[in-house]
Amino acid sequence: MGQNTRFSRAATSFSQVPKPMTSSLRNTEPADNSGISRERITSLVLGDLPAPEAAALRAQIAASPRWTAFAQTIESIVTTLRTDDSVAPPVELVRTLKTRLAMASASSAPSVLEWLASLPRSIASLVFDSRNQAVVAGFRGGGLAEAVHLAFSQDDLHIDLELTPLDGERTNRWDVLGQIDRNGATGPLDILALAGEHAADSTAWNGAERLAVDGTGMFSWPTRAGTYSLLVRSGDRIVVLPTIQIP
Amino acid sequence: MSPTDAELAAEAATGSSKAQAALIDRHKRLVYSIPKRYRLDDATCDDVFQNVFIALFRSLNSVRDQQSISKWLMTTAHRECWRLARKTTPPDAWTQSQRDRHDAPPDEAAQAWERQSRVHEGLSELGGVCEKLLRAIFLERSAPDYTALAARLGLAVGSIGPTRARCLAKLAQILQPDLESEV
Repeated sequence: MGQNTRFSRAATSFSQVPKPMTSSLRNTEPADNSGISRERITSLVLGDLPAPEAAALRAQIAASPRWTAFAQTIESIVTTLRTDDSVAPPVELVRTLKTRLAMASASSAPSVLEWLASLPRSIASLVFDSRNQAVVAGFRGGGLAEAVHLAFSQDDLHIDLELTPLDGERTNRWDVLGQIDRNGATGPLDILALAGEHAADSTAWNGAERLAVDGTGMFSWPTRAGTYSLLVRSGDRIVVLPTIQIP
Repeated sequence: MSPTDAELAAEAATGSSKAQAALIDRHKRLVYSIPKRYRLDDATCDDVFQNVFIALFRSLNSVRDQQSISKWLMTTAHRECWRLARKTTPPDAWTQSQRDRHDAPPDEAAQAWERQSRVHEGLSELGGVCEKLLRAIFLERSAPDYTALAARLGLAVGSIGPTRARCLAKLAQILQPDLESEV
């Protein structure tokens, strides 16, 4: 075991911040030419280094606030692990609780749509329609089934839609590929698709189709030609994309 | 990105079972360990565990507005332990600390419990060989047999040490992401 490697008496609190869900190895090469690295500091804290090497590394660390902070973190983690007295609950207990809560939620909570209808709503503006650009440029529009690009915007929320015909000319089936940019905003993200121009009337939302949206705000929605509205719930608000005409 | 407690609480407040389950999974060890530390019997530990989470989902709006979920859970579990312990123990058998009303666990203990909870959360996020290695080295009751451990994890015995150091460094990155930009 190495010599005393205490860097601080104060325990480090680990703040809960949103962090990427990844366990892949980050680049652990030394940030400079001093020979200090995260792994060497960890080895020092664990007592794995020979005494002369440990002493030299401690001196280097002491001269660097950032490496000192890192060493304190490792010390705190190791201490926490070594003194851990927590106990995991029985699997069946957790399962029973979740089932009980799910049943209670299903029977007593207001429907999701009722809750959504209570959120403040605003109407997004159509800021780009490739069909208008084609007309302005003198190209033939309509008639043949071509991909259509639409862009909507409301405050810091931007939604891009790419409408692609699925079956070639005179198609009745389209794929809508959507990308929602929330400009860094967090919170729940949901999308409902509603046939017709009834998005302003929340009583019509019962017929809405909930679309699957991934963590990057992208969604795909195969549908038939027609007029639709999209409801985008971002955090505590609803943004309505009215009158999306799928050719 | 892992959702924060506040985001999960907002989702759970709408009745989302998925968000409720995520909050339970994140804090189950924190809550269950408290009655265990107070040496309550298994049935009472189970009751404390269930009662605390049921109370959480009934009180989500006030919890979100006032304090962190983990602090609320620790305080509520602490109070529930004392309430149930008093019900099952005759007053003449109460200890002095049971007679003194304690509204919350001591700050130092609560901070240590929260650190343990975060480390376990970090280990789960670490996943893979690193999670298994660190749990085996630091958290299993018996001292680790490195030869058997290496065989179990598919590692060379001589690589256990360096791998342990690398895994702890990764865990530190997960637990202190604000260090990432500086180190």
